[in-house]
Amino acid sequence: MDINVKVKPNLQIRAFYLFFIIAGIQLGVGIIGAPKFIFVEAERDSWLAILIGFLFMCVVVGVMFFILNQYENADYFGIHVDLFGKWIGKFLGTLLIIYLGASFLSILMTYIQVIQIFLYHALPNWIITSLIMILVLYTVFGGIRVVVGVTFIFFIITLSLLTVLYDPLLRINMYNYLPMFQASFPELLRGAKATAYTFAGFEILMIIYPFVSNKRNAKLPVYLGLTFTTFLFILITMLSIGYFSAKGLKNIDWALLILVKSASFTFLERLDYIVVIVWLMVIIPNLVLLMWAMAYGMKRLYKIQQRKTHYLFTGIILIAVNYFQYGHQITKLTDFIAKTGFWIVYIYPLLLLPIVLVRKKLKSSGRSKPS
Amino acid sequence: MWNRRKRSQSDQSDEVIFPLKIDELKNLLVETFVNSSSLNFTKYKINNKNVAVFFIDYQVEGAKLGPFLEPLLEFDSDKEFTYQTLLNGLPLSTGSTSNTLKDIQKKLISGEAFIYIEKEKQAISYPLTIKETRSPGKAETESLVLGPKIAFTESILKNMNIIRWQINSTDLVFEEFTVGKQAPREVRIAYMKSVANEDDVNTIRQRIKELDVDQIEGTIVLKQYLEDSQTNLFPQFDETELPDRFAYNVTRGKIGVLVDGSPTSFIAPATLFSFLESTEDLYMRWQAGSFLRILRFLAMFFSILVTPTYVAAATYQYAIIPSQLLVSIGQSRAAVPFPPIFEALLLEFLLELLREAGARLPTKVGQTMGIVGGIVIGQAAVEAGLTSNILIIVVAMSALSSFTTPSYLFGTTIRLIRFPLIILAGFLGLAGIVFGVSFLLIHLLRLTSLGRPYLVPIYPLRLADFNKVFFRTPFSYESKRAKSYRPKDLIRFNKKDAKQKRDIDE
Amino acid sequence: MRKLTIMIFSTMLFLSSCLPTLQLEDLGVITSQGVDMTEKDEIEITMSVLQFQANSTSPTTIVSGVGSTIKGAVEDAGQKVSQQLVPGKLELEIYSKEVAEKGIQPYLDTLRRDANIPDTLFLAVAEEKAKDIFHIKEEYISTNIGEFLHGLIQPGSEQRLFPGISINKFSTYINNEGIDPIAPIIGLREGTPVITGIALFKDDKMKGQLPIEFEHYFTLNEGTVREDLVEFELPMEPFTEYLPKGSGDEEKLKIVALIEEGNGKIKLKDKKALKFDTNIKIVLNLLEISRQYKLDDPKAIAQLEKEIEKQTKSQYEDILKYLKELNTDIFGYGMIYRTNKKGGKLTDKEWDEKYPNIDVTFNVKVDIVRHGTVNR
Repeated sequence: MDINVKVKPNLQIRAFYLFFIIAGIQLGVGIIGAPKFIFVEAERDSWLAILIGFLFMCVVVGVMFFILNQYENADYFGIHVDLFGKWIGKFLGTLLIIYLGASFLSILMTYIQVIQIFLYHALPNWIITSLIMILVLYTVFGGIRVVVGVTFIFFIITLSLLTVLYDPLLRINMYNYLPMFQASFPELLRGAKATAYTFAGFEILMIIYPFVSNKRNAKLPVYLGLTFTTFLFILITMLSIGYFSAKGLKNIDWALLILVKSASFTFLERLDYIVVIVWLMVIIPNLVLLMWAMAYGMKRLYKIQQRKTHYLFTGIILIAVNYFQYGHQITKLTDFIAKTGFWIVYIYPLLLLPIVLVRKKLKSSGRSKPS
Repeated sequence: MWNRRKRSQSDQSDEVIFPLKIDELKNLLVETFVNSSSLNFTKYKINNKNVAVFFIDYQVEGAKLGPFLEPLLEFDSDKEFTYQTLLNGLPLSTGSTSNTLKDIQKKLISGEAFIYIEKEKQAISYPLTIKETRSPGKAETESLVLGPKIAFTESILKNMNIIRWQINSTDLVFEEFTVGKQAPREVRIAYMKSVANEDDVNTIRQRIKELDVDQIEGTIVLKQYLEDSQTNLFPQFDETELPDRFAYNVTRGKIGVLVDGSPTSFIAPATLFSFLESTEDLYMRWQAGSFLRILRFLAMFFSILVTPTYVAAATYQYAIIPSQLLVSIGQSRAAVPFPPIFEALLLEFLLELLREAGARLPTKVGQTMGIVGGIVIGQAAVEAGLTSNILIIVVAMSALSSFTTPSYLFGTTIRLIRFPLIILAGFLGLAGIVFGVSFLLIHLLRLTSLGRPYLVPIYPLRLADFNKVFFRTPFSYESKRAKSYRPKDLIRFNKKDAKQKRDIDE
Repeated sequence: MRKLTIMIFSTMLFLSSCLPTLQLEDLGVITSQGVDMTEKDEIEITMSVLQFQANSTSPTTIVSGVGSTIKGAVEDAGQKVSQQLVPGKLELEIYSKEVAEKGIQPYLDTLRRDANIPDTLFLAVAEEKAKDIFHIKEEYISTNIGEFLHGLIQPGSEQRLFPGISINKFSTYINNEGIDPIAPIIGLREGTPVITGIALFKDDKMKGQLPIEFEHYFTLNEGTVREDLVEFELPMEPFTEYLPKGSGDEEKLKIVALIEEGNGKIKLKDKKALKFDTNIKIVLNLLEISRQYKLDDPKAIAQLEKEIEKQTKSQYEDILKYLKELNTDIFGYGMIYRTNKKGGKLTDKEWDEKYPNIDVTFNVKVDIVRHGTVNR
């Protein structure tokens, strides 16, 4: 297996789209429920906690860029093999793919739960899943160009959902934010950790990076994407804090959806229904990017056709969703993903860094000796 | 057996048949044109030599025969009388010679008149073709309020002539191709040498050359043969009968295709948005032009979404309807015995019937048809309790919106898309609509036209092209051609000169 | 592609049998409902329901049901109509005084749990029985009862103040330690429902009430008031020098004015001594005055402003005294106290003890900026 990837020019994407890829994969189901989890930890200073999360994320992304730049055109799978040898490298790559698959499932299940609570109580899991999988498969069969296109266009379209937030903005109670700066540092850190599930997803950078055509300009869009997500996250969390009472927010599962429940236009009421349904367009980019990354990883590791992985995984998902019938199962899954995700997405690159550095040194000394 | 016979026959027709006796030639020709009595075969004796003049009656213009025959009959007897001297002697410029039967047949049916001097090696022929065409008339399918009214005709010569006068430049190329094995037709691709993208020209050249069909029925059929995906619902090249639209697109770096005998042309590559452009936008002031373009856009979305939304709201999500409207919709629905999806499909079906009947009937009857259908049947349907009156408004609005599309083909596509969406909405409510729209979007993202993305300039994003696609800016801001099509030459004119301003009182 | 088509069609086939439809004409859409207690301590729900029938003049019917839970009562009511009752358009819920005094938390809980019930739902308290309001003769009002009641409650669309108390606002206030909610009281006057008063809650229990005339004292405190009519009755003596002679001898000077803009702000002056300042600012447009008055004299206007300030201030003090007696903190002094407290935490119990001891100074500032086209 090659450590570096050769990408045909017609499959390359402009660095500009990294913004949408990063923001698109980060904004998903996490943000609907996240305000509660952060508020429980950091209370009124949640925005500080999110900012800490953001800074940490920036450091991690910086490390990712550093690692990537040590190679010519490599991704996670190639780097693993390069650092740890064929067997361990492939094992780590497989673990990563399993993690991606599990987060795919967790996103899907959370959305299905939302749909069932808000709209279609009687719609079985597998029907919603097959509908969503039709869209996902149709996209990934188009290749990376279509995957990025879907991410981009759906992102732009769903941005219009933000207008719905005008209503809670007018109803907030400013006193809910006072007094500020009361949370202790450990509380803030715990709050920051609670952002992990929502912010996760940017590890896709380590997989999609070889496809970027102008790598020199790649950093800015990635950081802008992270900033945009953070901004949106802070906005929604702060709106929730201002809109709900402290006691109330701790008991609200889907804060974002309850926020928009009182919004209406003169020609359209119950915008929460619209938001719930159009949220499909928010999670589709999530799902297609994960699906693409998985199949691409399988191809890199085991030379399995992407098409085959897609069919296989769709089959697994269609069977797996029927297992989740109760809310607590989904919560368990999400918790598990949040916990493992924290280690895989945030901590792992930091652990990788010293190994990469040592190896670099060994290589350069090894090279200098014979000469 | 059959194969061999066929080959021997073709061998025979490819052979040089001359020299021959006149009677032998006549027999040979009568044999090939069995059952067609229009072959005019006349024998003359000039300068002691037997001369045959033959042509097909209806393919030859009678008025031209005089100047052709007269010099022949009065041929100077001093000169040697061979086909060479005759070719030089006759005062017509386009003479040619042929010596095989196949060649003679081909030329005869395309309207050439032959002279054969007995025992000569070649026969001489002159095109005295008569080609029945209609003179250019007013555009029928694409009508404009402002701008030139002339439309393409069935004659490719006239069409090229019209375009030449629209684009009076040596840069404009009409490349000639012949398509069709059995009944060949002349096909021309038109592009600006210094502007059009080389790859695109090569692609379309190659696609035309590789086309292996017996015959094509016209431009729109050729268009379907050449498209990236023939199974697709969306048209991938833009068709037009307006020379000004053709010329506008060609000067902007696209490639136009004309087919002999077909009064429409098509332009490649196209995007989803090029179907919503009309040259009229250019003739309007830029504000009005932008307004109309945005209006057409909204109309497209409206047309696709409004009936499905009604169905979804009346079947599942009643709560999205504002309270005041809920009462009126509910009351009008109460009289209808069908579920909303059936009601909507019925009415859409009725409307499509009306439209189709209006298109097939003669113009005058067609107009009455629209009025009768629209008012009388609609009213009766409501009174009979077949549909609710709110739905009549909804369906009429969505139909009206679909008619605003400048391209008739694309308008049909939009009308067709509605039906699956209505069905989805009837089964799944709003979620069905969002599912359907997402599916459409992904589908559009996967589409290409001549290998170029269908959704450009949205994806891949080219902000600089937005003012050529989604709205219009004053011409001084449109100094560049659309980057989306990657023209060879991006600059139309110098931006600085256009923007130069004089000081006050200068 | 073909595989996808097959997949879509097969899914659709299954779907058609799976999803229960809510066809508009088969629904009874509840627009407002009243909650009462029967003698047997059961819940009685009276609903105004939109029923769709062709060519019927009034689409609303009144249905009622009894049950031990709210959903049970709705179920019971549902058996009396041919349609399926759905709450997706519920706009107003009225509690009888008896229910409100017992506490409405359990009812709120049901409303909030159901994702189908909109958050724009308004709450109100009935003067006596809630069902009386629904059982009025339709000729007294111009539209159907549900719409009428909703119109009564709904303020201008951008004003989010009393009497439009939405369920979200109400429950936020219940959950907030330093503030207590209010709700409008709806009663019958000559057979027509009107807002007659303001119900004062302590958490979810109604403790007392004030007449509707005091509305502005609450709205001013809640947010910015615009375009609202107020009436003042002032004693005559301070104005004698600005009144033209011999133009009448009433005892009171009556004024009607439009609040162009008015708002109130609470400040904590002294945390230990629980001293608060409430600063009220009102900009008035004078519309009506019961006597001829020298409005072109700046001093006369100043005098008028001063008297209005004085009266408003004493009214506020009276209201606060009453609120302290009930131990309900409508104005939200507790919230201000909490925001200034270290840690920002306050328990209900702690504030209950402290609230009666707070000391509030009301600073009222009135500006009359316009008085119409005539001076006298």
